[in-house]
Amino acid sequence: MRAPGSVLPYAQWHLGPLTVTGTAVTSLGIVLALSAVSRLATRRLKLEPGSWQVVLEGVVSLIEETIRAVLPDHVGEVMPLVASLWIYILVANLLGIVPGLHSPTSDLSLTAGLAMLVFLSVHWYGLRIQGLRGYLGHYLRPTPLMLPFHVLSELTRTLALAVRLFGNIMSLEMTAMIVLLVAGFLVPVPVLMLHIVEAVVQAYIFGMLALIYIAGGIQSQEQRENPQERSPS
Amino acid sequence: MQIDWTSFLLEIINFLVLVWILKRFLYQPVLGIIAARKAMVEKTLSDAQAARSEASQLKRQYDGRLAEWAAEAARARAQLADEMGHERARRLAELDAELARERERHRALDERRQAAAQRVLEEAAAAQGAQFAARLLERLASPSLEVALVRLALEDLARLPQPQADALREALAQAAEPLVESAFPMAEDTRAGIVRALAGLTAHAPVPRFAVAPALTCGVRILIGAYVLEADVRDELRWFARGASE
Repeated sequence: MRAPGSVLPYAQWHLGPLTVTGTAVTSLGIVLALSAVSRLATRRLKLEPGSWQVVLEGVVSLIEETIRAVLPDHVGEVMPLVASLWIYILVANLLGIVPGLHSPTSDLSLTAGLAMLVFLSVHWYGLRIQGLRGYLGHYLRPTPLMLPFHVLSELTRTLALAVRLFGNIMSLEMTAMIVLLVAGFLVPVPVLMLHIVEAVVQAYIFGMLALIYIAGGIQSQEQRENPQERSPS
Repeated sequence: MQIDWTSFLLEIINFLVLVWILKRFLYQPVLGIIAARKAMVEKTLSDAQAARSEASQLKRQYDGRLAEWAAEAARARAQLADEMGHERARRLAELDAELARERERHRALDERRQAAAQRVLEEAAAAQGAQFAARLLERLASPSLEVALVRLALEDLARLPQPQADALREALAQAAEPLVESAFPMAEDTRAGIVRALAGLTAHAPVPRFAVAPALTCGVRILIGAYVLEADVRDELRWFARGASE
């Protein structure tokens, strides 16, 4: 059985009018797992950290520093979304190498949902930080003639965001499956190793693009008002 | 490759819930503990900075005190050296004065000792000389020597100073009978010379009485009242020795 939006076999259940796919269940499982891990990991934080806490703090600090390098003034506002994108997509991508499971990011419904969230977040942050006039005004700069191109850019980059992640992960899983069918047991291992690298890279790309899109929406007005304070990153 | 809108919506809800959960249970606690540690480190650093500044201030105070103590010690040393110089000069002056007094005392003492020794030596020499001369004159004692001595005595009597001559004249005038003693029996011309000499002193001179005195060695002794005129060898030697010692 194939779930809608997936080229891979996937389970689905019907709850009345709703059709719950395996992608949604897997995504829910990832959310629950990440919630449990984060709750357990941060339950006994100390000022003198242990080895596990050092790793955890290192990861969070790395994410924070990366966001700070792009958006130094809005780290606290943007970090929950972007960091969650990185963590969630990374875990979702790596889930494909677990036997019997599939990466939920190989489902276009999920990647489209994430891309839609990023699309909405760009406008949310832009409106929240710059106000309605300030944010919508950047669509008319440098000339109102650029408005259609701005709108088209917003739509196409969101679409590209969804399709890029979906296409990469889906193709990796399909490649691994084809190689497994053709060549036999243990031959797809290099492909799986490539899957790990690709999972990390795709998670980073998706989160970084989301960050850059949000930063573009925020900084377009701020940079116009204070051109000497920030240089293009 | 089509989108399942149920999955689409569930994914959005799922992810928004995940964002809230991670923010609540991961980012905030971890960033909070990092911020707390950073605050603790900054507090430690500020405490260390304060301690260092305090230590620097204490070091400056200590250096200042050391410099003050060094300057004070230098002043005290200079004052001590000055006082020592004054004290040394004072004591040297006192010592010089004391040495001068001591030298003067020793010089006087030496002079006295030398004078005493010289006197003793002179007395001894005079005594030896007198003894030698006495022995010699005792061997040379004779009536002719006695006549010479009498002649010398009469010459001395004629050259007596005026006060003594007056005193002798007065004694001669009051004396009943002057006594003339000699070691040897005196010749007549010698006696006549004595009488003439006495008569030269006063117009009414009494005639002396002549006698031989064994106590005389060689010479004459004239007794006029309380006055004794003696020209004896022993007597002369005694006078010689006394005069030499004086």
